[in-house]
Amino acid sequence: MSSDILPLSGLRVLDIGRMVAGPFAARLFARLGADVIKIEPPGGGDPVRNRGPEQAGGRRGETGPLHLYLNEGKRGITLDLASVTGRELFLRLVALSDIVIENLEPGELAELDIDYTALERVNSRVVLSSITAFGTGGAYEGFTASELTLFAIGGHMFRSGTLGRPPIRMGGYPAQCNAALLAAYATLVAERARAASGRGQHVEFSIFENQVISHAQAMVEVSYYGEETGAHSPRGSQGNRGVVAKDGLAMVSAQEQQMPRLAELLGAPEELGRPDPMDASASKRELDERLRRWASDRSKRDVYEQAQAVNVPASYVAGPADLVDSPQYSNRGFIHQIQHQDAGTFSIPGLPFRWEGAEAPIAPPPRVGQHNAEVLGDLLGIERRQLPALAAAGVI
Amino acid sequence: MTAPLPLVGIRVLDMGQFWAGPNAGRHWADAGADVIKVESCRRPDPLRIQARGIYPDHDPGGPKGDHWNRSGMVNERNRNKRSLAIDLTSPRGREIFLQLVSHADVVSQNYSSRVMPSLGLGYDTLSEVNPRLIMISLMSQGLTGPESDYVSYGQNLEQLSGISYFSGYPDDEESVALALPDPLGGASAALAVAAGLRHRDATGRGLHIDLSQRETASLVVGDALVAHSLGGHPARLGNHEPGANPSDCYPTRGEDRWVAISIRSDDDWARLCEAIDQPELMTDSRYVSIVGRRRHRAELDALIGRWTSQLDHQTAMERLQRLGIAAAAVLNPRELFRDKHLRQRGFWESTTDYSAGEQEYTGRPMRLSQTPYGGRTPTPGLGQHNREILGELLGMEDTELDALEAESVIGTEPILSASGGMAVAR
Repeated sequence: MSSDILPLSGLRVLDIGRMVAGPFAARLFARLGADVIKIEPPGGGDPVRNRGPEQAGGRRGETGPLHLYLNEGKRGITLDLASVTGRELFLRLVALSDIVIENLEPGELAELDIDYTALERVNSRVVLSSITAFGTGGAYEGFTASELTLFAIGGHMFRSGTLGRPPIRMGGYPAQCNAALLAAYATLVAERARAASGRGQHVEFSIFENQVISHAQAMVEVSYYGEETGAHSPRGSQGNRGVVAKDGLAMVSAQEQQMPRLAELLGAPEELGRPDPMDASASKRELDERLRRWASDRSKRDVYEQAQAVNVPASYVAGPADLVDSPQYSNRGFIHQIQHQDAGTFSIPGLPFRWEGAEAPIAPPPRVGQHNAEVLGDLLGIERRQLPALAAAGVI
Repeated sequence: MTAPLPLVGIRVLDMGQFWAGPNAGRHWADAGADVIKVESCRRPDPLRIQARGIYPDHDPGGPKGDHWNRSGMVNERNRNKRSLAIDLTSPRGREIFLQLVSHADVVSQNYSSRVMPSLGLGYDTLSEVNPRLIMISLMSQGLTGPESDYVSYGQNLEQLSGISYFSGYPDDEESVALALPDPLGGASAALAVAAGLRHRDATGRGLHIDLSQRETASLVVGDALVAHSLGGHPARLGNHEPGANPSDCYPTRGEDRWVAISIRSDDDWARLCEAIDQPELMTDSRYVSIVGRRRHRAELDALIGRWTSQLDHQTAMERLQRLGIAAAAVLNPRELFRDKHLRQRGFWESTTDYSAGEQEYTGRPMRLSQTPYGGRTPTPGLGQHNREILGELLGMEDTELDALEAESVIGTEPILSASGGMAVAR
């Protein structure tokens, strides 16, 4: 059996997404071996390209970290989907593709006349994957959203931050990353269903609803009890401060059964690890105090590693430097290096799961329209000499 | 006309416990896979027997006295599954499990790294029984590497992944702690298996998926790793969104009620001026560009806050959205449960559970036009399908099943040691 078969070998994916959620899902497919073609508007391309900071002196639109992160491993073409010819070329590509991913604004797909009905007409086996903020129907149909507002409405922000200050969002792109992973799953499931039905379908994903299913227990509590109870609701109760080490924060999360080992590690009297149930809180305060002193003259990594060495759950606040140089990540090959013609060499996380032959070789993200000739030529038989006319007409 | 559910014909032995593992199983079961939740009476899913669990009417006992079947958190993430309670530490139980493996496509587990090998159920053993098997191990930090044996909770993974570093007020070291690594891990695992199934079908060979929840969580901040490696200094931004200004939470009417607003373009800004009834600001040279709005952010925040304070958060959201501005009420769980959009979309699903009565649970965020998968069966009771599964898949007769019950190889009630009810780190 050939070993160069990748999990998604043979799948062609058109990524007409913008910014984060759609391109994120498409990148997961590229990592898994699909042929992903990113389709961008002519001119500046996907606005994610201007999401700074770009490299000083670098080619404009080619060196922003969010773009480099999300568009690795794809081929890139430009097409003006709002033009008659652009739309026609797009539909010809759809006829040769398996999956189309989009996260455009509500109604935009219908406006461009490339909704599922239009795609189905040229390819009844195509799967259209729409990663939306709120989905079709319901009071918020047509509402627009950003990472901040998605995180706000899904119920996670309500409990985060300090009372008296504004609630605070999680950093990075948690709502859209969470959605991209599960939407990619739903899309592959629909792709699998083609084997039985012979037909593609429209997968519509709601990021809002995905945030609502991502609570540990709040939704169960409110359903069973009509309200949240216990320690999980009030804002400010969930802070993640941990202990202060010499060079940053760490956390030791010992539960009752790990207390004896923690006491031993701290050189504390044995009885502090086996508190009298009648007097547990005083022992816990004493142990916490010893933990604080112990941590204060160690590095955050030493706190983490020494606690873990005696099998006590622990962690430290890892910053980007810690992660790019993490022994665990390096050992597992999670962080890849890319040599990029405009940005230089940079590090980028790969797939968070692996098995033999799962992951495609890492490849630089495309420049705007870099593969126009290759894709339009190889797939649609458009000759190189026809390209200038398309460019002059603003189609590519 | 609807086709069969997409994962019909795929059988999963779901040994997941707590959250991430069962959540992955929930995604496969929703899509039509035959997901068998495998537990042991000696070691049931710890969420069944939590001291501070969530039970109907706050009553763990209930009419049947089987509190382990009434845990809300178990019932939320194990619907559409069947339940098998089998003692894997007994030679007979292990033997039966291996026979089931030969009828399975997927074995999913999120125990700590030592558990499966110590039960004699490592991947090598399982794959000998079924060379086409996909095993997935959802680990804190993966199966390999110097930190692979380290144990953690969700809050630890938030720190280790880089999420904590970027989450919180820029002027305070404390970070938000929301345990998002668990649902992220479940989604990541769901995807890995869907890709793994395609790979197996193409190559004819099974595979062992080594999944790291820490790595999955790092994807949330992946662009910051890229930025750092290019010599940048990515930092905490609080509620600020790159490319938007202003963007923050603003106070609304009521106590601790807020609306999040993100102004992503000059057009957005013009529409906001209209919304807050200050059209003269539209031409105010201090604010027309994003650079100017960044410089004068404090004044703008005060202006916007004065307007939002007069409205409730829902009204503020809807007024701004009508103008095309990204705005969202910061909803609390009670508001989400009643939220009109989710109700109108039919998001909540009502099921009558084995022993918890009729309850509403979260639905699913994906809608498939041809294979609209949905609720079929409620979460099963512990061991509810022991006899059905072993009869159907292994052809066991009643006398044999009676004997297994008598020897406590299978059962329907937990057998707990003194420490059995406590949380165990993965």
